[in-house]
Amino acid sequence: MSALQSRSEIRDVVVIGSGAGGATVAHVLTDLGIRVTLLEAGPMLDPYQEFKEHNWPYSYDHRGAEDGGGRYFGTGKPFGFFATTSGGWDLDGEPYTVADDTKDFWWFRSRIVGGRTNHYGRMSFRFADYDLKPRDRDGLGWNWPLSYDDLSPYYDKAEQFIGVVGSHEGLRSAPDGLFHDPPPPKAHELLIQRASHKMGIPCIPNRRAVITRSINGRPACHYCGQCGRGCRAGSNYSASQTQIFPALETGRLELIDMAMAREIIADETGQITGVVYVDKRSGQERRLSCRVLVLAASACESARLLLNSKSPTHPDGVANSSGMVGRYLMDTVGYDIGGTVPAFEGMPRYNSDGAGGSHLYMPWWGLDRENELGFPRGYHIEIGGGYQMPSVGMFGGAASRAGYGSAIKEQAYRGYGTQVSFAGRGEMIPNEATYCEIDPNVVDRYGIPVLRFHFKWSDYELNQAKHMDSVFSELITSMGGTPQPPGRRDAEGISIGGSIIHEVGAVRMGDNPQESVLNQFCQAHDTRNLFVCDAGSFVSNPDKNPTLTINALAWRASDYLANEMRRGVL
Amino acid sequence: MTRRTVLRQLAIAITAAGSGSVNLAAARLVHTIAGESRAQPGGYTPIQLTVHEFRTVSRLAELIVPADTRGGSAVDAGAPEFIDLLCSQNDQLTTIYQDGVRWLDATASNQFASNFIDTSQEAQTSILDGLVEAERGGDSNNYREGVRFFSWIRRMAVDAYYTSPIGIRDIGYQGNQVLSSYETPSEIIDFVTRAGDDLGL
Repeated sequence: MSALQSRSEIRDVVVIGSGAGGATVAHVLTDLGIRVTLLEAGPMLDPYQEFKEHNWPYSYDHRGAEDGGGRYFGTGKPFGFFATTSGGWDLDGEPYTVADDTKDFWWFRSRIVGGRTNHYGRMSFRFADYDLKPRDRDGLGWNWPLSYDDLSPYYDKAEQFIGVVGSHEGLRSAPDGLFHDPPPPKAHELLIQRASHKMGIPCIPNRRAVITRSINGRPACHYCGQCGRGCRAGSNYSASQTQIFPALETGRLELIDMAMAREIIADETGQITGVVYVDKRSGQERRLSCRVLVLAASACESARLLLNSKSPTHPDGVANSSGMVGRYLMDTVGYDIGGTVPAFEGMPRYNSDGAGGSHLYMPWWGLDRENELGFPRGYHIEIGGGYQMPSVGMFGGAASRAGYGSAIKEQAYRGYGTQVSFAGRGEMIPNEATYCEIDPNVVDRYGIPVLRFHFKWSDYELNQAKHMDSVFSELITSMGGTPQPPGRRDAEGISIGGSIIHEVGAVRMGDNPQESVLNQFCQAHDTRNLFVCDAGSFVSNPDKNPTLTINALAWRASDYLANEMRRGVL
Repeated sequence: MTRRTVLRQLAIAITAAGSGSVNLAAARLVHTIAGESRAQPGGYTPIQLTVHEFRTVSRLAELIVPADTRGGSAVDAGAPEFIDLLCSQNDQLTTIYQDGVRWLDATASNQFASNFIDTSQEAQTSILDGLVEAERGGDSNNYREGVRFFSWIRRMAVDAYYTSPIGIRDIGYQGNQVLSSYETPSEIIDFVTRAGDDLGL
């Protein structure tokens, strides 16, 4: 049994990080009979403790304003008290820094089994064929060392295993997958769809990692709409419940939580022999030996670990003979606008919770029209609205418009459910000025040197955000509504780098070892027994949220890795 | 050591811990004690505000979100207890409420020769009218100082109301259910279809 394994033995495969990438590797390899040891920098997840699904605000004396009223003072949890966020923009004792040349960069880190998949948006979009060969289309960035045909079978496997709702549309920008039946549109989405169609923009059933029929012992969605809080039933995808818990049941997965990886150990030939980590509970340093090491700590944490692991055979950090570790970091272009649509006033109340998130979305519709649009790459639009569960702050605007007295209740009642929102999520082109490196002057509480971020949007992204602004404003106006000023953004009217939490790249794959860190199987060019199976391998960051592609790439890498082990090469 | 001192020390511990690492055991204890004292005969004993401050806050909450044909008031929804609890965990918030009640009493004394709580309903609403006018940039300098407090108590009274069972019933939220299938009801689809037709979409 794994619990009885001696600390001094050589593990077969050690995986660092238990999010979408690490959990996929753990699940696929243990399924193939391979023993895996998984390190996670946070604690084990207990969904009953951690998830606040179904709880009402009045279940808590602070009503969701958090202890001491943190919500009112801007010190509350990043996505509100009820959202599951074991982690955040700032982790106690684990800083990062932002370089002088950069206005701002935000880095969201989760420290818990399952990582950010416990609470993420679960948007699950396949990359399109052209997304993998972007340089062929517009001469910008780089092509991936694999094609849609290479990836497609693994999208199939990932979708079948985790479960994704969606519909068959035959759109090149949004390839169809193996879908569960999607839930029907909500009321506000039907009006948005008409506004969208009038502008020639497709508005189709959303693709989210939620199941509408039971699979692998997981019950179908029960439509409480609270995916963001975590689902105790496991009816949406989370790496913890969908992959790690079942993998633990095989007896082939050893999970070590509260383990912060410090350094990768290589021998004199450059091969990886193990990893040193800090046991956060005791503060003790421990060492694991392994045949194969898989990093899945998140794109930037994996880059950090590689850069912090210097030795005579890896003078610039492990797997970094190309000097590419940390380079070409990307986030998603984000631009959000809300608006009030009076046409919804007087609509009878109904339960609009649904399957969590929106039931419709708008895929990119401007393919091959990029020249006339003035920016090279696409975006998709996520939509919001409906009758949300009342929460702290929701009726502050109505209250201040009404003054005091019964007028507040009337204003609030009339305005409830008349808000819609649009969130653009677009492709950023990798650039030379956006990267992470080790800060020579700062270490975290464990003495591990931290990352310093450089981030810059180019005109490509700024022009795209302007386009989003005009499209969203027109959508709202055409419904008779009034657009509100955009939310969180920097002075140029675009999201702050990192704030969309799609940070990818920094350990990119490629055919040429001089220009890339990994091959198309997420295997390091320099050291064959090292893999990076998070979004670090991304060559570009298409307008498709990254998680499903992390799953597919990690699955493909795991098949390859298992085969190489079987052949005795690894 | 009095009960109040114990709670106070717990509250300081929680505030000092910062948002990242609230002492959960301490927080839960505060909640439990707050819940117990509400259940005691004779009603709730404030844990942070004085009895006078608590009564004043209660009266204000009632004026801001009154009981009417739509349903109960912010007091029925537990707003005063909610405010008192958060004050007990946050010195900054306590100061806002202490200063606010002091300003309100001073203003009432100047105009009506009595504390706010002891003036007539007309006098109380005239002060609130002055605050709303000042908030909207009107020419009422006497009230400007009270606007910040007013916006705090209004925000928190409204939050307490809409996060309570009576407020949730009033606003008409019908979700947080466990369903075997999801449909948008046909009369809702009809409503949206008409709205779309009217907008020429």
